[in-house]
Amino acid sequence: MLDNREAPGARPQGGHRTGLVHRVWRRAVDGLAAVGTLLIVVLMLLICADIVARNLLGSSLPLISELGALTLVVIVYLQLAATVRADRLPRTEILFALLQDARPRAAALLAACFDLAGTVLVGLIAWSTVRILEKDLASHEFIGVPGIATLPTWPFRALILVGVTVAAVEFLLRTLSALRAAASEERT
Amino acid sequence: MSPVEIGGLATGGLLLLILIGMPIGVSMLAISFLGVALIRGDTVALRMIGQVANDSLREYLFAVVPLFVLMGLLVTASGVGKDTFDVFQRLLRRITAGLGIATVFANAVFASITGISIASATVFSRVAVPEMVRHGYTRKFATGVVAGSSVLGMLIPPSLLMIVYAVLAEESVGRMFLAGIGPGLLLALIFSMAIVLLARIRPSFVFDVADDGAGYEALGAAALVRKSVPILSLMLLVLGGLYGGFLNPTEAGAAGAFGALVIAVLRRSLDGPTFWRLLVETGQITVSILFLIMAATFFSRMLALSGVPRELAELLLSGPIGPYGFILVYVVLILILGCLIDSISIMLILLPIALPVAEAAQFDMIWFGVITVVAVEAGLLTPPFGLSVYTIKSAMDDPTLRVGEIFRGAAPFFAAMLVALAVIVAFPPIATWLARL
Repeated sequence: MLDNREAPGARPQGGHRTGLVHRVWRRAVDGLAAVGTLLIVVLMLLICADIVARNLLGSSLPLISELGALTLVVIVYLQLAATVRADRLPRTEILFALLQDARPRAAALLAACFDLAGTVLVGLIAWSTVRILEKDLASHEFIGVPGIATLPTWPFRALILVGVTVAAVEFLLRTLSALRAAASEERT
Repeated sequence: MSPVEIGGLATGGLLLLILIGMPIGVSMLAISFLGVALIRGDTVALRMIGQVANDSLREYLFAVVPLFVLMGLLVTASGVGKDTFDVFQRLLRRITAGLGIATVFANAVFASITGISIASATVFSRVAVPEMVRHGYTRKFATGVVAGSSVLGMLIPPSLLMIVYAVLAEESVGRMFLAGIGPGLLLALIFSMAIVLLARIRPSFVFDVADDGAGYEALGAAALVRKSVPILSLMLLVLGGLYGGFLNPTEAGAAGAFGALVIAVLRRSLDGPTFWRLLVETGQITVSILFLIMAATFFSRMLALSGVPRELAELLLSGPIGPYGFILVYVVLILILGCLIDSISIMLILLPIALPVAEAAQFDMIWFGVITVVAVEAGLLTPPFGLSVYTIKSAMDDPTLRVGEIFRGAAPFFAAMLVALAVIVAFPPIATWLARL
């Protein structure tokens, strides 16, 4: 289960310029995912600290449950693009694999449609998250109890927006590379 | 079109999209967006998709997902599974097909420190299969036992599937965990009976060599205790903390992950790069599960708007089918989907439709959850898509081992699960007694 194989979606690219852009993009996606990965450890340590504080010192740490919940959402969206690229979103592959053997070009076109749907829907999520972010900023939305400890929610919201946007672009890149694969199937 | 018609079409469309291979989460988002747009207009649909994406995962409870996954992967890497198997091997070596039964019970115990079946399948295909083959068991049987008993991982607490059910059905996670214990033990028992029965009736299925000449590793009482300590302390930490009232489920996950990390470091089985790889894997499993849960939340809101579950409840419960007919249809549907789709996806697709019906039928929702989980888990063993079987195949890394061989070996255990399912349907207290105590 722990394989680091090259993602099936990452097809070879032509030309040096696209190569550079592609590399930078890869770095960005990996970087976001790495932040998400580190946040898992942070989440674990935060909750453990809360357990110790409550059971030994007799009082819960402030903010932990709300912070944990928001951190989790951030973790998911920061790693979404990398998960999409690694082709790890659950799907049924039985019929699709049959199609791929029989009609590779049709399969590539179908894959392009799937990725396009992903682009549109995750794009819609990004679009409506912009509005939510604006509202959070305008109304100074926060978590916690005033007077004890509070945190504004907008930085979390902004990270979610970044993650969702990058995932939408990743879906778009996959769409393009699936279309390119379909075109090259036609030539061969 | 009336909302109910839209909802019905949407459900059919969803199954079609999933079948032709669209990622399940994306399919759910697409269908739900279209459904809401048709019922209420696209402004509402756009607002809803943003709201669901931002708020449906914002629950402290969901933090338990990465934590239990990380814990499962850490114990997989730390060799705790091998120790558990050694202990049971020592205890059961005088019994017919004792290694098979040892695998089942080692899995049952290992299940209490991991909430994911793939962890169990990975560990025991590396630990138990070579040992069984060395003692003259057929490879088909050895891998089949591992595949079969790996389902215990998600039945005996902690369990990811129970958490997902608890979230969707708004039940308490602690109670759902307790509800898994009785059925888990029942299943382990039925598995053991099936193994003994097979060894008696069809020895060729179980053994290659009639007389087991291979020796056992000598294991003294001291070694036995030493090997039991890590797993027992993790069990005490997670389950003791949970039921002793010190920890809520999320905290039990964090404590368990931290404990597993400490054990792995103490045993020197974890270096930096391995830890990072496990973390990355944890992240990807977490995203794939939670993205699905998010999409399923949108799907169930769309369905609620359409009124399909209400109509379906009326239709099924007032007609000739009746409540038990509904259970039968439901289980058969799960088993069919289980051949094609992974466990959590099945639950997320079916539960938004089935839960309102089950509520209308006034079922005990804990009992209904256990039935759901057992039926869904049977899908781990059925071809063409049986996740446990593929996990074993990739963990064994043996090119001569055919997937079909493992599926055939797992078939008796699939049958045993159906028996267990029937027993749980007939005697609900097996699931509910402990949980309702």
